Amino acid sequence: MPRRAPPGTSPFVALCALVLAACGGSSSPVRSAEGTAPLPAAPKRLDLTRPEASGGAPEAPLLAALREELARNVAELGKQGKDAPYFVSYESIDESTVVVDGSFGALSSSTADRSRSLDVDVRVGDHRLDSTHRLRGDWDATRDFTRAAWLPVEDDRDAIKTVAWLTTHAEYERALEDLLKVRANKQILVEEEDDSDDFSAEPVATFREAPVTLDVDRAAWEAKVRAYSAPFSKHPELLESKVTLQASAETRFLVTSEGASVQLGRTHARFEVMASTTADDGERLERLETVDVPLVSGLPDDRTAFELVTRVIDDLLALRKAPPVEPYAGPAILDGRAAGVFFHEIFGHRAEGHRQKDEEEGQTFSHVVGQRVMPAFLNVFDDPTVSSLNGIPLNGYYPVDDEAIVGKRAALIDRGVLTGFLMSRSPAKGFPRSNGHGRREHGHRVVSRQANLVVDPDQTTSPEALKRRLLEEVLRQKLPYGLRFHEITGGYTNTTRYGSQAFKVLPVMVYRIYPDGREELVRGVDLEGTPLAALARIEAAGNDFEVFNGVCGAESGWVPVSASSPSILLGQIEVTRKEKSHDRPPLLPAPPAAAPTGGTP
Amino acid sequence: MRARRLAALGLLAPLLGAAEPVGQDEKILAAMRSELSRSTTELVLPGAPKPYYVGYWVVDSSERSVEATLGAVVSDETSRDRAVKVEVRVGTPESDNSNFAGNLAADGDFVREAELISPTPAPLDDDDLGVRRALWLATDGAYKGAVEVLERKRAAKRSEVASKTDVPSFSTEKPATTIEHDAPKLAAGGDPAALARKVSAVFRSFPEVQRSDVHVLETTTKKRFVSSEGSSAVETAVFAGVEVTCSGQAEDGMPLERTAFVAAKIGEPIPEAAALSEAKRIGKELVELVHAPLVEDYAGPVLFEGKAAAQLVYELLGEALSGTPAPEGNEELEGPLARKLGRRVLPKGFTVFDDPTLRTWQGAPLLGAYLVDDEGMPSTRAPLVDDGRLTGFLMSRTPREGVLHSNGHGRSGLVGWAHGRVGNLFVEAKGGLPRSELRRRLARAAKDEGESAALVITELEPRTTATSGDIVPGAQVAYRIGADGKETLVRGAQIADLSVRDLRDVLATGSERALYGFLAESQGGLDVGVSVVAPSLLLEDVEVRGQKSPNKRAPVVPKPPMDPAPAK
Repeated sequence: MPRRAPPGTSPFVALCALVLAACGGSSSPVRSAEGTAPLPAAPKRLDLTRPEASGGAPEAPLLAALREELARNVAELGKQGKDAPYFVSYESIDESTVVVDGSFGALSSSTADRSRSLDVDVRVGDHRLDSTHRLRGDWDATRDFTRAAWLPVEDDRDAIKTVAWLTTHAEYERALEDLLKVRANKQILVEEEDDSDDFSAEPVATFREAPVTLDVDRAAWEAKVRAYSAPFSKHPELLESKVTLQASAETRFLVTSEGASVQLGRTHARFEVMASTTADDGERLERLETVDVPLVSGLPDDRTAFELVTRVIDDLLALRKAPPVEPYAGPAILDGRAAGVFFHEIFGHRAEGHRQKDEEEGQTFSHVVGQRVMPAFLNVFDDPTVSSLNGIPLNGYYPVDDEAIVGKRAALIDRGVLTGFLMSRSPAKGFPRSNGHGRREHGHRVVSRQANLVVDPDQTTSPEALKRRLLEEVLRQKLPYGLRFHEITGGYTNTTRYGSQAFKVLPVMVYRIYPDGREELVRGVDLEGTPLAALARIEAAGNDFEVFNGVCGAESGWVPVSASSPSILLGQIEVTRKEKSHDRPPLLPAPPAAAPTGGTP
Repeated sequence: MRARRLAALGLLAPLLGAAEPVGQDEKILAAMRSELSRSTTELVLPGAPKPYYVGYWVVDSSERSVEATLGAVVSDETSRDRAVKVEVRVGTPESDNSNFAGNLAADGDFVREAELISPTPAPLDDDDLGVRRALWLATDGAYKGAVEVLERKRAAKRSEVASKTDVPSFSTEKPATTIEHDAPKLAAGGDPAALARKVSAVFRSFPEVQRSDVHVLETTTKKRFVSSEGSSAVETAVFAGVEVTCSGQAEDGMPLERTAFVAAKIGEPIPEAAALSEAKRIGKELVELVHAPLVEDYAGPVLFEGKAAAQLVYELLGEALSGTPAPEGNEELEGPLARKLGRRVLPKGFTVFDDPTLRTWQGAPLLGAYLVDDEGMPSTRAPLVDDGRLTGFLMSRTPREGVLHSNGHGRSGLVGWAHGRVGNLFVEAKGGLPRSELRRRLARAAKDEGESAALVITELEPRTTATSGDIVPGAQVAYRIGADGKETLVRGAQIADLSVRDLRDVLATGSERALYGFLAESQGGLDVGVSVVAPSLLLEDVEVRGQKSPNKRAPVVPKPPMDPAPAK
C-alpha cells in the first residue's frame, strides 16, 4: 500500500515531502529589526475556501452493518459489569487506489488496489482514567497500534459483522489487560504533572457524505507517464527517474457507541516527478516535484507536466555543478513552501495536544500558554475546514476527524502569543475539549495531528523588500553573502525528552545571495536548530503565500497535511555541510541510447 | 498487501523442451548480453580486480491474488512486475567474494551482501534500454560490494590461526543453454474471485469456526538468464492453487487451526470440487478438534502417518541435506549431516533422492519441479541416501569438501546467493507395511514399552519458511489409539526434541507414500516450491507433551448469526 508507515517510528516525527505550485498577495508597515528602518508594507491576499457542509446522505450498507454489529457488541459487553467498555468505535476506510509509474520513457508499474480497512477502538474504565492512559516508563510501541483488520470489499453484512466481532474481541481483551497495567502504573509512580482526563465528553457528530468512487483512465496514464519520463533519457547523468500518478478515492465510515454516524468521501490525485544523480564527489542529489489536487481531472496538462520534468532536470544538472555549501551563520530567507515545512516541523509538531501531558515529551510549549513565543506580527492557526487557499487545494481538508468530532479552526499563535493546541479527545491541562484534530492512518491509534497549518502575519512586505533587508543584514554583519532556501522537501523533529529538542529539515534548493543581488545555487545543505531560538529570530514576512502539500508521519501513521506560509526572513540561522555518502558514482557510463540489439557494443 | 503464505514469485512446475528463443525473449536476451559484455570487459575499480564471473537474470512475473472470507471477497489484486538480479564474483573460483558472512553481529554485512544480489525493479515495457539501465546500476552496486567483501574476506583469512582445507568458492561447470519450447500457460477462463467466494462460503455453515480465509493465487513467472561463461536459459513456470484456512478455539481457549492446499495441474484449472471438499473436510476437523480432549503427556512409539511423515522428513532432512557449507567464519552453523558422507544416516533399505525434473507424482503436481536452478544449472536427479548411507548432498555451485560440482539444486528464490535446497524430495523404504498392519505394529511397540495407548500423528502444523528449524512443528491432527484399538482425536500435541538421529530408529514404514507440497517463503519473501514424498514412519521413541501455554479466552460476545447463503 502506498503511504504505509513503518511500525515503531514513534519518537521521531517525520514529514515526508511533497510540493505544489503557489501564488501570492498585506497592510500595515512591517516591524523593524533593532535599529533598522521599517520595511514598506505590501498587501497580502489570503482567501480561504470553506466548502458548504454536504452531509445528509443515506447510510451505506457497510455503515449500517457496522452500526448494527457495534450495537450488538456493546449490548453483550454491557453485561460484564465494571469490565464493560464505556466507549467503542468502528472506523472503516474503503479505498481504491491506482498508481502508475514511468521511468526513462518506459512503464515501470501500474497497479489498481481496493481495500476496506477496519479499526476498532475499545475503552474500559471511565473518562477520567481508562485503558488508553499513557504508561510512564513503558516503551511498548504496540500501544500505538490497533489490531487492524481487513473487511470484505463486498457488502455481505454477515461476513462484515463476523470480522468486526472478532476484532472487537481482540481489542476488548487487550483493553482489559491494559487497564490493569494502567492502574498498577498509577499506584507505583508519583502523581502526574498533568492530571487531565483520558477522554473528553463531546457532542456526537452525524455527518454523512455520499461514498466516492475512483475514475481514472489507466491506459491513458500509462501512455502519459511513458511520454513525460522520456526526456530523462537524454541525460546520462541521471541515475533514476520516475513520473508517477497516484489517484485514490476513499470513503471513511465511522460509528461510535455514543451514536456518531459519519461517512466521508475524499478523492485525491497526486502527480510526482522525481529524478536523481550524484555529484562528482559522491553526494546523492534528488529532486522531486509534486502536484496534489482533489480530482485526476485537475492534474497538470501535458504542457505543465513537461515543464515540471524540465524543471527537475534543469535543477539536478545545476545541482551537480553547484559548489558544496560551507558552514554559515547569518540571515536567511525561507521561501513560502520552505517556510511552511519549517513551521510544520519546529512549531506544528510541538503544538500537538497529546504531547503537552506526556511526560516523555519535551513539552516545549506546555507551560508557556499566554506567553509570547514568536514576534508579535505573527499569527498561526490550523484549520481542517479549509479546502483551498488562494485557489490552491489543501491536502489537510476534512469536515469530521477520526474521533467523529467536527473539524474546527484551532488558533495556535495570536500576535506572537501561544493561545492553544491541536486537540483530539485526549484533554490537556487547560484544554479539556477537542478541536477536531484527532487523526490516524489505518492500524494506528488516534492522536492530535496537524491538518492545514497557516502562518498569517499581520504585517507583510514584498519579496523584493525582504531580499533588500537580507542584504542590509549581510553588509551590517560583514558577511560575504546571505542564504535563500527555495525548496525544502521535508524534515523531522524530535519532540521527546530523549536526545536534543532539535529539528532538522531537508533543504534541496538553496541559494547564496551576494550583496550585488546575484544568486548562486549550492548543494549539501543541512539546516538544524532548536525551536524556540529559531522562532524568536523571525524578522519579517513577505506577502507571497505558498502551500506545501504532503503527508506527515507520526505515532498515528501517515496523514495528509498542508503547511502554508509567505516567505520569511530569519535574522540568524546556522547551516552545516550535509554528511555525504562515500559511494562513487557508477563506474561505467549509462548504456547508450542507441543500443545495438545483440552482440557486443 | 497483507501477510500471506501464497504470495509468490514461484519458480514452479515448468514443462521441459528445447527450441530457439523468439521475439520478445530474443530482444531481452540481446539487451542482457550487451550489458554483460560491457560489465565483463570495461567494469573495473582502480586497484581492484575485474569481475571473473557475471550472471544476469531478468524475471517477469504476473499474479492474480484473491482473498475471500465467508463468501465475500476481501481483496482481489492483479500485478505485473519485472525485476533484474545480478551476481558478480571477483577474485578467482578458488577464492572469491561468496559464502562469507563476515562478522554478523558487528555490521549486518550479511544482509547488505544479500541485498546486492537481490532483484531490483526494471521497466515492464520490452524496452532494451530500460533493461540495460537496470542491469547497469545493479551491476555497479554488486561489483563494488563484491570488491569490498573480497577484501574483508581476505583480511579475515589472514588473521585466522589455523588454515582450513582449500575448498574452492565456485565450482567449474560446463556452460549450458536451456531453452523451453512450449512455455506452460495457466488454464484460460477461470474465475479466481468466483472460486474464492464459493469455497469460502463453506464456512458459513460452521458456527465453531471463528476465522476463515480462502486465498486463490495464479502466477506466471518467466526467468531469463545469461552468464559470462556463455550459459543461458529461459524458463516459464505457472502456478494455480488455493489455500484454505480456518481457526477456532477449544473450550479452554486453546487456539486451533486447520489448513488445506489444493494446487492445479499445469495448464488445468484449480479443481473446484476438490477445493470445496477440502474446505468442508477441514471445517469438520476443526469442529472435532474444538471438542477433542487435550493430549496426555506421552513418551514412546509414534506413527507419523501419510502427510505427517512427509512433513517430518522435510523438517529433519530438508535443510540437513543441503551441501552448501556454512559461510566462512560461521563454521559452527554446519548441519547435522555435514560430516556423515558415506556413513549410515537412515535404516538399511532406505533410499533418498531429489529430482526436480519430475513434474507429477501419481497424477499430482510436484511444486519443486524446475528446468534450471537459480545459478542457471540444469536440474538433475540428485542421489542422496542409498541403503541408509549418505551418498550425496543437494548442491549449488558452492562446493564442499569431497563434493566439487553442482547437481542443479542451487535455489535462492532469487534473493541472495543460491543455496543447495530441496526441490522434489523422495524417500523410499523396502519392506513397507500396509496401513492396518503398521498400526498393529505401533500397538505392539507401545505395549512393549508399557504404555496403555499409542499415538498416531496424521498432520503437522504447516511450515512457511524454506529453512527447517530445530523445532519440529506441533501436530495439527493426532489420534490416541487405546489398548482396545479405539481411536480418539486429541489436540495440543507438541513434539519434543526430534533430530536427524531419530530417523535411524525407524521401527517400520508404510507401503503407501504420501505427498506434501508447499510454497516456502525464502529469506527475501520470494517463494520456492517444495515437494516431499515419503512413506509413513513408525518412530521408536518420541516425546509428546500437551500444550500448556496460557490460552486467551473465547469471545465474550457470541458470534453474529449467519445466513448459510452469502449475500447476492
